Amino acid sequence: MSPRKARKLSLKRRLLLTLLPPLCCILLALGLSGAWLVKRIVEDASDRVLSGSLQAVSETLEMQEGYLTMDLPPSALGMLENPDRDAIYYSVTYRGKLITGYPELAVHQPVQPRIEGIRFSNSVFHGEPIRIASEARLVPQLDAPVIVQVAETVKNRTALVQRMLIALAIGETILLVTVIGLVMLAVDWGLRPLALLRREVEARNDEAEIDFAPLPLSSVPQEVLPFVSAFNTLLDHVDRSFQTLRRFTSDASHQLRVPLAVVRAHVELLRRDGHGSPEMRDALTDIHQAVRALQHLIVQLISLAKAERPNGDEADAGSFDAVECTAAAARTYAVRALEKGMELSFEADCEMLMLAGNAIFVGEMIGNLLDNAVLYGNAGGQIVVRVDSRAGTVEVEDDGPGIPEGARERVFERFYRLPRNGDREGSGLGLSIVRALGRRMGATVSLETPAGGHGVKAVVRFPLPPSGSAAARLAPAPQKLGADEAVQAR
Amino acid sequence: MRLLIVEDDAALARGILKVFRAEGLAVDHVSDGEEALEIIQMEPYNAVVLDLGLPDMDGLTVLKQIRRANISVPVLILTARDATADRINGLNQGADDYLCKPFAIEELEARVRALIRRGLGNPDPLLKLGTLELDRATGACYLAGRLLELTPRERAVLETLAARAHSVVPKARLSAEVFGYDDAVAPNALEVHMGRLRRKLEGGDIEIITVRGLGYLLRLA
Repeated sequence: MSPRKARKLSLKRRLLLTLLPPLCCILLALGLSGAWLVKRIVEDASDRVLSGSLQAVSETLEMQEGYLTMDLPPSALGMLENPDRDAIYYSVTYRGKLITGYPELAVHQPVQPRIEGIRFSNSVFHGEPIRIASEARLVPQLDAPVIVQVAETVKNRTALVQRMLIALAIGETILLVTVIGLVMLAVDWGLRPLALLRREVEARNDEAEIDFAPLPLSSVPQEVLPFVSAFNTLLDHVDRSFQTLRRFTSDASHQLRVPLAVVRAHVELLRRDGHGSPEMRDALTDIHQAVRALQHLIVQLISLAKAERPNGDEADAGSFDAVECTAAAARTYAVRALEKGMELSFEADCEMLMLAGNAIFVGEMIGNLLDNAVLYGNAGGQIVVRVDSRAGTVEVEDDGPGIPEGARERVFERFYRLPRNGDREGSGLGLSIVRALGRRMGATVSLETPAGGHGVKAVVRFPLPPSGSAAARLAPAPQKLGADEAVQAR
Repeated sequence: MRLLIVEDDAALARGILKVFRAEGLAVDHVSDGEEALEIIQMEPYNAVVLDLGLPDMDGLTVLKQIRRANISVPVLILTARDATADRINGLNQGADDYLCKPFAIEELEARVRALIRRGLGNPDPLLKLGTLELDRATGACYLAGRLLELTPRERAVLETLAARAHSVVPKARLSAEVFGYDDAVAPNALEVHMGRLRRKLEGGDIEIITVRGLGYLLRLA
């Protein structure tokens, strides 16, 4: 789980790492130029107001009877009034002499006043930054220009700039967060087809029989298409080598049959003739046993190859009577069980249980389970074969040494044998065959501990037909002769 | 008794020939289908053991042609194939029995003997198991040379079991053989007969075993 999560995160991180630095640079540049622009605009607007008041003041300058008069209209400075209550100062000087206004302001006069033009400058007045607009005005009858200055503190414009800058910063932050969020969403959304593919592959892994069919390409994004196509090619390869392996096992086993038949026939003939030294007869007995074991192994291998063949054979279709199939297998093995001094009994809670599947396969499954019970159960012990129509199960139970809890899955592996059975006959394929055949019919096989506490109970669980069609199950009818077997089982 | 072996594997054929010659049968051997068809039409065989994998043609083709020529000789098919479909196909083409390679020699012998007997149309009327002798023709039954006094139903039970000695006979089948369909019988009627029969067999070398849930089995004690 965690490596996948880390990988997913790192893809997002990688995208963000490539996206965010340039985005931040752009935002920074935007911010800087925006701030500069804001400052310029605020400055221009404020300066225009300032120059308006300056002109309103300076235009009233005139010479009347040798006196320089100035009419300070209330509106002239009223223009500058604002909620931030900027302080407003003015001064009028002629030839360096203050005529009216604040003397401290006159100090800030430009050295060379420009005629007919407004100049702006920054300064500090009473410890506060101010903006000064100055104009050198030529008044008729005066030989030197009169310098008029109007100044205001910059609280208002600073506050305005600040407000606009904050708005800009908020805007940029929103943009940044939106981009990050969109990247996350886009990555998730973009990866969703991959997550679907992953789920499909995982579902296949959980399936009993691995499906090597190519992954669907319809919902795959263009960018991932080559990867999925490559994966499909790999699947195809694996599938083909799997089939080749199966075919090889099956073919090789078939090819081995004929030479094995020759060996078996001649060894049996030699044994029957009965001449030769005792050593030779012992050797023949050994060969005979080895040939039988080999034959068993080959038959099991073919059986397994057959069981693992992909589904879809006509052999899979059809239905079988679980009671009859199980009873027939039990009858066959009853003789072998009796030879080992075992008692085999058959119990069924119904007369007939029709299930979907192949009767030959089921016979083979139950036969393999019975083979194990006879081979590994206690000599002189009990084997119980049970058909339970309500659970849809067939059970084969022995009271032998059992299988340790930890090995109950391993014994289904091919060729795995419990260490204590290493030198006994048996191929180690029986349970693999049972499971593989079960899969074909949707049946599961498990090993449990019998109620008695010792031994093994192999349970084959068949899928039951929907309860509506329960007519497939016949209840025991004690009066009828044909039901004798079921009656006796009670 | 004449037996024909059609088998292309010389080593296996030699083994089979040896077995049946030791039994006193007159055995011929051919190794391809052409030859087999020729000789089967000329000689009156009691049984044919036919391998399916012949060099010149499929054994099933040989079989089809034999049947088309109206030759009803019992045929046992011998093959390395064991697919169910193949088996059913073989029997549908008119084979009488089917045996997979590799096989136990005893099984081949037993099956061929059964085929020959069936072909002759009169199965051996004398059933023997250990010291039990049951003459199906007269109904007389001896255990260790001593005549057993059996009711007809007990004899029917014993005969049915003895004919399938060493295998489990389902109870339903025994009931059908012993009672017939029209008889009104108590549910435990068979057990009653079985109990009496067991008492009469006591002390002999055969026994009837109950396989719970499956049926009964007659075997050497």
